[in-house]
Amino acid sequence: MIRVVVDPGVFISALIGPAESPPACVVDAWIDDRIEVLVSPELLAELRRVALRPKFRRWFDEARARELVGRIERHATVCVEPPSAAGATRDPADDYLVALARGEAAAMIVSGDRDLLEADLGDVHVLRPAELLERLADD
Amino acid sequence: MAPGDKINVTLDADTVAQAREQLGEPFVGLDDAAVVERALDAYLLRRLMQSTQAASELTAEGAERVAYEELRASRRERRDAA
Repeated sequence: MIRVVVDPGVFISALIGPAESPPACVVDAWIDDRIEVLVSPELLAELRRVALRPKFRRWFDEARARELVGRIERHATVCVEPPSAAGATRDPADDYLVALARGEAAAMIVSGDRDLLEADLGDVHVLRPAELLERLADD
Repeated sequence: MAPGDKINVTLDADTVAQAREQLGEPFVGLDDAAVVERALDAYLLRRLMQSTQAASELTAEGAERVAYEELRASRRERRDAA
């Protein structure tokens, strides 16, 4: 099973987008155990912070935001916070995702974030959700 | 089902065996309790996703745009507060 790091933006996109969107299909693939999703305490904390932002009350309430993070935590492989990968990307706030992928030898980071997608990370691949789905379809 | 709602689930050996079969090879070593727990987690996570998606009018592109705008805003606010 492919081990991947999914950035918080993908989880949120999956939640508020249509069920057939690529982020939602990535989450489906994970629920169906076609991929293994790795998370860290920092990733879960960021996901919680973003999901609790007032903008999202239009689509889900705070209880549902907390439930989402809790269920993701229960279903994912929770890893110990890895050493920092400072300077890996244009946005320092993305560096923890790179550190997690490196520390756990993940096959890739799945993201819709341009800073990550355009980063030259060498050993860490960054794919858009649709690209991961294409890869799964090819396997 | 809202958070805090109570449900009763009747388990028997067949149900557990079915859940184990659905989980497949990577979870062969799990005991019955872990199998049931994982199957239940998967069900509830999917249900939460689907019910929220059903209430949204956003396109895939719109959802991604809002998600990353809010992610970036959250990071900006944390930086400014630090």
